Order: sequence, then C-alpha cells, then structure tokens
Amino acid sequence: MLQLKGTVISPGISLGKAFILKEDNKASERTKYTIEDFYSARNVVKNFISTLMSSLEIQAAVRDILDVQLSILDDPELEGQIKKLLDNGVELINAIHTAFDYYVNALANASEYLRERVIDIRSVEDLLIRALRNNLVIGIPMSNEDVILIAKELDPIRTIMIITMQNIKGVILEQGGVTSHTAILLRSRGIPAIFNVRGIFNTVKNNDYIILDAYRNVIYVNPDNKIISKYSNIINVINNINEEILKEIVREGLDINYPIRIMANVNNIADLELALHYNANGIGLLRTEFLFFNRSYPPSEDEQFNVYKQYFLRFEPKTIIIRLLDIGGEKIPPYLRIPNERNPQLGLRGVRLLLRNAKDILISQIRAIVRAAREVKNSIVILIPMVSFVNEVLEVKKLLNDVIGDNGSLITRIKLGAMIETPSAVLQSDILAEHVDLLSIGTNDLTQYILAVDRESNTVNDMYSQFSPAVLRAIDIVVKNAKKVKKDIEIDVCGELASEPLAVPLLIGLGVDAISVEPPNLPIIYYVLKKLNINEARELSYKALNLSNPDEVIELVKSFFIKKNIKVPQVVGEFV
Amino acid sequence: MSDNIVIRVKILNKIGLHARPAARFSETCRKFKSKINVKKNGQQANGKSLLDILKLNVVQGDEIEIEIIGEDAESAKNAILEIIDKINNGEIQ
Repeated sequence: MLQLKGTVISPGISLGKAFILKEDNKASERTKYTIEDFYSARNVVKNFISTLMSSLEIQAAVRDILDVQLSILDDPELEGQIKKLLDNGVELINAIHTAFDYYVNALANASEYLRERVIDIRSVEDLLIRALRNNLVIGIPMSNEDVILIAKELDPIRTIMIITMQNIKGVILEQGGVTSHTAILLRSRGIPAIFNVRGIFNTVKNNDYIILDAYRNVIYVNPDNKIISKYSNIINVINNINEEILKEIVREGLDINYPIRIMANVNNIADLELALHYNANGIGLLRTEFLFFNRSYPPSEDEQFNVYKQYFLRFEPKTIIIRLLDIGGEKIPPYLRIPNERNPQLGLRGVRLLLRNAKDILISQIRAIVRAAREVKNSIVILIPMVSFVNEVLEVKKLLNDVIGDNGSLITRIKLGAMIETPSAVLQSDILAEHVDLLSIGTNDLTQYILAVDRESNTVNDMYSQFSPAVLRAIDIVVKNAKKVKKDIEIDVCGELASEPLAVPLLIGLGVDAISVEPPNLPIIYYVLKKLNINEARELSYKALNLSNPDEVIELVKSFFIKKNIKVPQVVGEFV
Repeated sequence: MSDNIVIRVKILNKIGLHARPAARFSETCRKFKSKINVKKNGQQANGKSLLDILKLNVVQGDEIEIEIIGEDAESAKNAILEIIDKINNGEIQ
C-alpha cells in the first residue's frame, strides 16, 4: 500500500480503479497539409466548441472559457503567423506549435492569473491538431466501473467531458493550477480532486485500486481490505447527507441566520478559492508563513504587499484576519538565526521571535499589510501569534500605530487581535481584551500548553485531545473574562477544534462569535449548524464543562447527534 | 479618405483586459476595416488579436492608447469606446 498527498482542490471522498490518461501523440500518416486543411480543422473545432456550449447545461465559468477559445480560433495574428510559417516551408503542425509557443512564452512572465489561463490557450492548439488528425474525440474510458482519473495535466475541454461522465468519481493530477478553470470546474461539480501529487503519474498503474480522500489530503494506492471497508462506510454516511441541503447551504451561504459566523483558514491560493466557493463569511486565519519558507532571504515589503493585496481583493469586502509571521518550534527558515534551544516549544517563537530577533521582518510585514489595506475595502485584523505577556501586545500596537499614523479611515478599518494559545493569555484575557478588538483562540497550541502534552511525543501523544474539558474550560474563561470588560470584543476559535463537526455545538454553547474552519470542512460544518439551536448547544456545553475526560465529551456529543439525527462521519465510523 | 484617430482610455475592471473582456474587445475591432493598434508602455498589439492583447497584460488601472487608422476610423472609435465602457462598468466580465 502506498500513501500520497498533494493540494486539495475539491473536497470529498471517492473510491475506484485508476485510469491513467496518457498523451497520445500518434504521428499522423499525412505530412503534407495546406492552409486549407488548417481552415477546415478550425471549422471542425469551432463547431465542436459551439456544440459543447449549447448542448451542456453549463454554468457561466465554463461558458466563459469556451467563449474565449472561440475567439482565439478567429485570431487574425495567429492565422497570419501560421500562414507565414507555411509560406516559408514549415510543415503545418509545426507551424501551429510554433505560433502557439510564441504567445504562450509571451505570457510566461505575466501574473499568476494569466499564466494559469495558458492551459486554455494550449487546449485550442491541442484541439486543432487533433482535428487535423481526425482524432478529435478524446480517449477517456466509458465503462460502468467507478474510475479515478489520473493525469499529468488536464485541460478544461477534457474536464468538461469528465464532468458529463458518470463513472469518473475523482481526479488526481501530478500538476495543475489551483485557480485554473479545471479546478473551478471540478469544484463546482463536486468531483473530489487533489492536484500537485508528485510522482503519481509514474507510480500508479491502470486498474490499481485508489481511495481519494480529499477531506484529509490522502491518496491510498491499493489499500488493504480493512481500509476499504472503513471508507465504504464513510462514503455511505456522506452520501446520506442530503445533497440538496449541501447545495442550498453553498448557495445561501451565511445569509442564513446561524448562531455564529463561519470563516475559513487560508494557507494558500487553493484554500482561498475553496473558501470563496463555499461562501465563507471571511478569512478567520490567513497564515503568512508560506511567504517566508523555502527561500534564503525574507520577502521584501513590496513582495508582501502584492501578495496581501491579491488575497484581500479576492475576498473583498469581507473581513480578513491576517496573522503575523508565526515561526518557532522546529521549522526555521535559514535567514532567521535562532540558537538551539533545549525546549523550542517554550522558547523563541511567535511574537517573541518577531520582537526579539526579527523586528525588521515584523515592521516590513506590518507596513505591507497596512499598505495593502489602504487599497481595498476589506476590514483587516492583524493577529499577534503566541501572546504570553500583555507587553507583547502593547509593543506591536505601538508599531502598528506608528505605521498607520493619523489616517482616520484606516484606523477604523485596521484592527488588532491577539491569539490566545498560552495559559497566561487565557488567565489574562480580560486585560488583553482592553487593548485589542479581537481574541482568536488557537486550540492546537492551547491544548498542548494547557495539558502539558507534546503531541509529537510517542509516549504521551495519546493524551493530547482538544476535546479535553480543561481546554473547553479555558475557552469558557476567555469568553466570560473578555466580554465582562469589553462587551463588543469579538472572540473567534481557530485550530483543529473549530473544523471538527462534533465541536460545533460546544463552541456555540460557550458563546464564541466566530469559528475559522479548514475550507474542505465548511459544508459539513454548515450542515451541523443548520440543525442546532442555541439553547440546546448551551445546555450541552455546560454538561461538557463538568465532565472528567475527553472521551466523555466526545461520547456526550455523539449521543446528542444521534438523538438529533445529525449524520456526520464521526458518528458512524472513525476516520482511518 | 483615411482617418487617423488616437484615444487614451483607462481600464478599470477587476481582471483587466483579459479573458472575456479581451475577447469582446478584439471581436469589436475585427468588425472594422481600419487598422487598430493598442499600446501600453511602449509595447504594441493588434487590436483585432486576442492573443496579442493578452501579451500586453493590461491590468486594472492601466492606461492604454488606441490608434485607429482607416476609412471607418470614426465608427470604429465609437464602437471601441462603447465596449470599453461596458468592460469598465462590469457589464462584460
């Protein structure tokens, strides 16, 4: 059995046999084509695309791609170049390749958005050549067996065909752009997909059995029967969650009067696109670490500005909570020199590191965020990671105020937040609340510090559980303390607990204002929310606070879900 | 009689002169006999060519110069201004 991972593009779970889509560049027998052949191939492709446009009940996104592709076919410069090459004795197929190469290369330095449109242009080239070779219909298998399609890359035309084929249950690509039309199409049709899976194309063979778990970002190749049967159970549960309800939730999103606001954790562009697709209420945690890793020097203020602005614009005008660089523990980029510490988890990390060893980075980051905020309409919250002393918040606040200056409109639009991840922050949450507009409870670290359990340790990691009543009590203390001194302070929960369907009633019951969820989990969280009412949730959370250990909390919520007929995977079978 | 008209316009829509806006723009230009050049930062594209226009990478806030040469330049200008208006106010996305 082999386990692989990549970038989750479209969440879901599917099981099936692998079908490897190979490039079929069969040499044609004919080599002597004329410009007339080009014109007739062009007509064939135009008819083909027009037929697709009219015969499929397709959404705007698809129609737009086809529309643009039709326009490319009629491009006079493209035609002129191909003609000129033919006149110079170049063979037609090479001439087509050369002309398209010219335009695609010209786009190589353009924005990420434009680079990802390259596949739409290449797809026109591919169709023209297929039409010349009388090979327009593309080799995807028709069978009754469930199939997981595996390819290097996939153009939108083939993606449209896949969408119409009932037996294709999932897509895995070795490459693939996260904002590509292919990604948008798969997501809009709910076909589970993981892209950027290194090595899959060469390791998997036709008919290998595949489990594609695009909730947890795992691909199993030829798993054992135990895993297959567990997944079969889970699939049944997921299918039982009425598809109509999910669709309705995606459509209505958060216009429904939920007891709390649902935001999304965003690590990269893929997360951002998924959060948009599911109509999240905002970004509850925009992690900035991706900008700082895998490089030998830190990003400039300008580079950061451009990236932040791109993210803000895409989510305009919703709220974005952006976290300052949160580095520490074990992964450290080379340009940040930190001495080896006996216990890095209790050492120089988060805001401590920024204030003590990386003040220049901290200042460049604050400046870049403020500059980006100036150009957008979003409300922006700057979140301070790993706060354990009130002074840390005051120092960052002073830096921020210096950068904002006396710009009145920015002062109201840029807010400050503190992460609650340490016991000291929990116990001083009332004092912290006086100095900030928002508290965000990060349950991953909070759990390790409250329980004094290292989740990486082989000897004690089974003791780590975010459902611990002690963790719930910590959240309860924060809400009560902070709201006592500042009624309108916003209290959010991010971290794994917030993405856990079983935790939803507890967090509502404890009175938090918002939760920030991993984007693939948004639909299931909406589903649970729709079935809850606030009074039941309160009652349940009070009970949980008085239990003794995490297992009892989980059992309490499970039996509540069964009673309420709330069907989530956790109730039927544990994830593998 | 051959006219030579130059207009300057600012592109205001979110994605710039890409995808459908660029397709609609080039298709509008194709309806006229006039030669239509689009210029940005010293680079020039054939207004009738979608691929050429993409190459210019015209993004939100960019100013472009459009040169129209030919006997139907005046009506081409009006049609181009109309399509740019639709692009800028989000009618074409």
